[in-house]
Amino acid sequence: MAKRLALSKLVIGTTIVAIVIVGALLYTVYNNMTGNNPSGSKINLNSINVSIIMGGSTFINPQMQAWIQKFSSKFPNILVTYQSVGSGAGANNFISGTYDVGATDAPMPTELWQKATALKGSVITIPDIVGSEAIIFNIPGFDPSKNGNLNLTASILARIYLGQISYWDDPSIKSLNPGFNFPHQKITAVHRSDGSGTTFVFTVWLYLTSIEWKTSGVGYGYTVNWPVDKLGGLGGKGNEGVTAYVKQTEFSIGYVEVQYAIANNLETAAIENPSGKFVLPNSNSISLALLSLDITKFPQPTQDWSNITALLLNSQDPNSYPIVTFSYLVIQKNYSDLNKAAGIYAFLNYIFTEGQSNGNIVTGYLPLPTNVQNYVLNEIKLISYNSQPVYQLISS
Amino acid sequence: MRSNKVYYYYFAGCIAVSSLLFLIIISLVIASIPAFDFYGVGLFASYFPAIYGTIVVSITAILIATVLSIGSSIFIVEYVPQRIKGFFINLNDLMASFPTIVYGFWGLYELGPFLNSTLFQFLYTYLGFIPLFSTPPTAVSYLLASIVLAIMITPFASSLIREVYSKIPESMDEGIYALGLGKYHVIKIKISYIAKSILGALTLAYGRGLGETVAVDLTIGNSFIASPSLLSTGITIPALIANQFGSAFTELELSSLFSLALVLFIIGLVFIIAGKLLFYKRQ
Repeated sequence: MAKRLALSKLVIGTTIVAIVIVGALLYTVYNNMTGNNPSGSKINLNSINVSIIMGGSTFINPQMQAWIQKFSSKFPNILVTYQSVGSGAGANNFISGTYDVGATDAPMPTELWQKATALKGSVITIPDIVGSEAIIFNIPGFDPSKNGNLNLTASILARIYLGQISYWDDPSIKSLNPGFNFPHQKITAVHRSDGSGTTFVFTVWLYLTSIEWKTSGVGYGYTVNWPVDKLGGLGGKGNEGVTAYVKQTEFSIGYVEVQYAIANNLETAAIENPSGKFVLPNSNSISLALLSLDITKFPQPTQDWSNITALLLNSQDPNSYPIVTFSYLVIQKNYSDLNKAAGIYAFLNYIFTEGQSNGNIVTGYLPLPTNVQNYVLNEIKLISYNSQPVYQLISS
Repeated sequence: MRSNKVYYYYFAGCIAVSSLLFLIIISLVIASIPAFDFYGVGLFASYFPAIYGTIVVSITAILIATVLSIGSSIFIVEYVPQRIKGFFINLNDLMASFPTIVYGFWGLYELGPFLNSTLFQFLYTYLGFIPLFSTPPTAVSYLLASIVLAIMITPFASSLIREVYSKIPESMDEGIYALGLGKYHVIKIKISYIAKSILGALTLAYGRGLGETVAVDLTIGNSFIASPSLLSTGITIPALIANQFGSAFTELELSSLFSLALVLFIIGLVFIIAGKLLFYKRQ
């Protein structure tokens, strides 16, 4: 009888001790995982374990994957993943909380920015890279080294996508390209089937540059009703989808981020710029477009950025490429999870310091101009944990 | 009694599980209400190309799949030598479990160009006066999507049909031979004997094909039009939802997509009912 009592006391005692120990362990693990830092001491970037989920623009995907690879060799404990799902989905998922960082080719429209700010407190919009949109085409027999570049204007492109120009041997195309005998073949116009920032920039450029597009009523946006669909226009999913369709389909034309054209060995068209010259998208013509950038036009980091999409379009420099754009990241400003805030700050800091150096920029993209780089580095200093700037809490 | 209690627990469990299905449908209806509120019946008009595309692609795919699946099951059961029958059956089941995106890419990069330059070109050149083939062949089209879809659902339907077909007793074969008829008649009578099961198999396979998203998305062209020509590009409801869902910002847009899903469900229901009615009429 006494033995039984002793035994049961032992069991109860052991159980209580076990619960206390497990509880303490869980408490520290929980704190570690969510990055609660009640003591306010500095944290070491190499010791935290955090996963950051990013997604959105297919435009920036090749560059983002390159950055992530280099970053994870420095900080393998900070796991960054990027899903190339399109700017529209990126913005949406950022607002819903699925993504920690959203990537969009055009700043979020005002209603979305308002929704994001209402749900998450302030959000910071960050321009992260300079890219341009190339017009790719597939014309069997057309060789730029023999026939010259394929010269196109905004007016011709607008009329193609409005369904008003349907054959390659249209007089307006022939008059700009006398060096090639265009066959009487239908133009298959490829556009995006998903919500795309690339579409947004392309349609904004058409809207601003071509009177036909402006008066057509189609407008601009992440998706539009493409009149050319009635003539057999195709919708590809992502920049990858458009590239695949143009590669596959003879006598087709499409718009993609220039890196996709380079990676797939597709010829790009020379587009007429405001000075009347026909320019190919290359690092020279794109960087010339940046010279006219007026950084004072940037809104405040946490304000609505939707008015500056056209900032880099149709630059006045005579040798600049007309369809140049920033791509953007959008992040929450204030976090309650220290590890997450630190991880995001570390990754963004990497992108805007080492990530902008020549070896780390993928061909077809351009690094940010120095003044924008400095502006952005100041922007990310706003990232805060419980209203304390995170960069002050990082020891390394 | 103890067994009674167990039975009632089973019963409750079954009710719970089947009510899950109804809950899905009810939640679809609830999510679609804002869209129906706003658009009214005009919703069907504005999304007509997607609805039209879904119906066209599924009907064409089922027609092709019927031929392919019945043919391949007859082939495996009646004609393949006993020794390598197992190989063919395994191959068939392997194809049924293939990820469908592989079919989509294969259709886009391999089958599409091949068919484009041969069959589609033939149909357009010689039968172009029929509205069904009146547009010039393109890299992607309703017909390509239907063919890829049919190839995708055939292994599944074929294995179901084969299972039933091989279970028909040999006495039936012998009886027909005894009447003086040949192998053709044997097969014909056996097929009509299991017609109900074939219909069931095709219905299941059709259900799988109706919601097929990625493979169709790649091979149909995603152009928002409704064309009478099978050789034209188009769009289906699953492809539209897959493309637009990620970027549906407002409650109205989301609700419209849910209402499209509800329409898809209703289309499927109509087809299944039609199939059953058709069968009973034949009987």
